[in-house]
Amino acid sequence: MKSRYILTTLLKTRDAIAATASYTLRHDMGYESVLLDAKREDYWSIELDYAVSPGDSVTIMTELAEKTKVFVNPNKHRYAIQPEGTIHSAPCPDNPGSFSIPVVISSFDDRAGTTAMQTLNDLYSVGKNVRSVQSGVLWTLVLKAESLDAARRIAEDIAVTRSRTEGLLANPHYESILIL
Amino acid sequence: MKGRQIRIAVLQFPGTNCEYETAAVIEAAGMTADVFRWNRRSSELAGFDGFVIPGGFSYQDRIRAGAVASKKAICAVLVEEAGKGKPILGICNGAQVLVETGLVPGNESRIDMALAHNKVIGKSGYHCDWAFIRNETQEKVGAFSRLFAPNEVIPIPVAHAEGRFVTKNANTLDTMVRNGQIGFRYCTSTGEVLEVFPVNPNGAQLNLAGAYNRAGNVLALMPHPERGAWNRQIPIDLERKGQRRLQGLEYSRMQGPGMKFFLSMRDYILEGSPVQ
Repeated sequence: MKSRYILTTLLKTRDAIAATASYTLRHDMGYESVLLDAKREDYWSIELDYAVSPGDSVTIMTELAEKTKVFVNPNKHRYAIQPEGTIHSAPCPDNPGSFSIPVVISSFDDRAGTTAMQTLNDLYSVGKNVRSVQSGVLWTLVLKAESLDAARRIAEDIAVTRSRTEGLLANPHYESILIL
Repeated sequence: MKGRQIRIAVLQFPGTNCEYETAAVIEAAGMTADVFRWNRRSSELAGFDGFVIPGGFSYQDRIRAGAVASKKAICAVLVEEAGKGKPILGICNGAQVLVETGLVPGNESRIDMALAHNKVIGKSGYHCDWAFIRNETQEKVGAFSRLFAPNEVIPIPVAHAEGRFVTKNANTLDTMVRNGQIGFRYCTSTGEVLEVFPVNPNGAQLNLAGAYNRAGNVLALMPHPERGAWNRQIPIDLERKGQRRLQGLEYSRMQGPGMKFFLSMRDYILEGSPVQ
């Protein structure tokens, strides 16, 4: 049985890219009253070998995060490991009427994922447990909306760049967009 | 237009870094250059005859190159001015801004293209070198190509990590070819268009180095013409080295092929040319 885990890394310091995205969306694109927060993390979707037991999976993922230096720089990143499928859109419990919408943006080419996989294979014994690595950027948008569906639609509008005034986070001509 | 100075605004965003050499070349081409900061009143732009968005890293390439700059009010005015037929040249990061603005290729305000990360076999990231491009436009077509002969080969520097023209719409490139929007393509020193590195330094579709909007007054150009505006800037190991050595100092002081982009711009404005 194959298992896929998501490793996310978040800057310990203030994220200038997320701040710029938030400013641009709020002040230049009309989302001032809608966008409450925008968080950006590196997103690694890692498929482990079928022979790895669920118990060992967490150990292997921790080793990938802490010992390989491929995904996490402990000087600047915090990281989290979650099984695939556990990150999804949801209402914000502390803020009624707002929703947290995760959006994953990946390049069609995914050079970073390919390079990470190659580095694991070439340099680290733990790499033998990894079948594939996909990379992307995970944006978590906190949006004010009437419903979860409405929030997801707004997230899509924010993510997919269709024109100068529509969309910012991804250019669909070379990037894919996945709203979780 | 004759009898008064041609005024060109050189747009400066936070992170732009080629504005002053670009302004110098514009001045050398007989026009007046005004470095125009992004936070000036954007309505002032209407007083200029043409615009150049120079190279650099606007907004530190945050999110992706050109994306943030394209959302600024100054770019909304550029779209209006483009509609009046005024010439707009985007160089490198400026080209990325124009593509993200939707001005190039410019079909119904949609974003029809991207300048994606370079993609060549065995190499990734930033690439800085001299390349050759070939003029693809017909005589006197395109505001920045008027002084180039059809199929003229131009030595020119490239310096970018995100310079690969791509589109996911199969029809877009066909439409651009049909409309004469293919301005310049990467080629060998003899003008052969080969889809291999380093002839094509970034993996661009169609070897595209410069693309026009439909009207021909807006050009998104990834290479840097301002860095090849005088012969002395062209390295001696390129094709023209023989000429340069034979002709010595006088030759090196002459205007180089990059200057023709700006002289074409000047001529286009002087002629009051609606684009052909």
